[in-house]
Amino acid sequence: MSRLELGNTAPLQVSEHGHEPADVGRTVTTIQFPDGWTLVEKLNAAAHAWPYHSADTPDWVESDDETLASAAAEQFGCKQGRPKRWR
Amino acid sequence: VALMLLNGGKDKLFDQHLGTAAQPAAFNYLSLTANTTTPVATDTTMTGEITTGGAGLTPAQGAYAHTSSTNNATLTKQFTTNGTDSLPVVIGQVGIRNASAGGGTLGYKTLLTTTATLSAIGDQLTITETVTAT
Repeated sequence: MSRLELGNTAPLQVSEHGHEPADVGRTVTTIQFPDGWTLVEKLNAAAHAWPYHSADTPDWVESDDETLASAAAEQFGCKQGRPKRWR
Repeated sequence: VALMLLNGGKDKLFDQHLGTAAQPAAFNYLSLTANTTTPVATDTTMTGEITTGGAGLTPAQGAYAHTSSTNNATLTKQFTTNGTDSLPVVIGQVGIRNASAGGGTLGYKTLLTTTATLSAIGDQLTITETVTAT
């Protein structure tokens, strides 16, 4: 199983009105992928899931899979690697 | 349309969170059917669930995503039809199970507001289900 972490500066959560800003400050979205998924499948799932978790683009991405991290950073147009200032 | 937590899913949810016995398997298999009957909490099956071995539309694990400190998570899976699928098919409902191929427990159902028609080999359908803790 591989995982992708994304720095989330505009997290969303669900209320009776739908997806709304979550008052939790900047945080991290973690995506876990089933074994056997291709890189394309992982990137597609990340792209589809992200708008349900954030109102902005990721600040950064990080992964235990270097190829996935690099491709996700390019897809989302953000930097690779969690900055030290992030908790 | 909102995801419905079925009675079977509630039972497993408590067993997973609070039980002292071995925890039930996670609910991360998405399944599809053309059936459009409105779900009820006592449902334990999905009428017409697509379970054809080797088909692209059979139940499969989705990618699980959660944002720290928020009340929701998502499951996302892209289905791609192949030569084993019976086409065309109009997908009307999505379920979430805790095992593949129609096995395990059916925990959730969503009746689609807009159905999805898959006509040819290679057609794709991406499902993202949002599960909310309230």
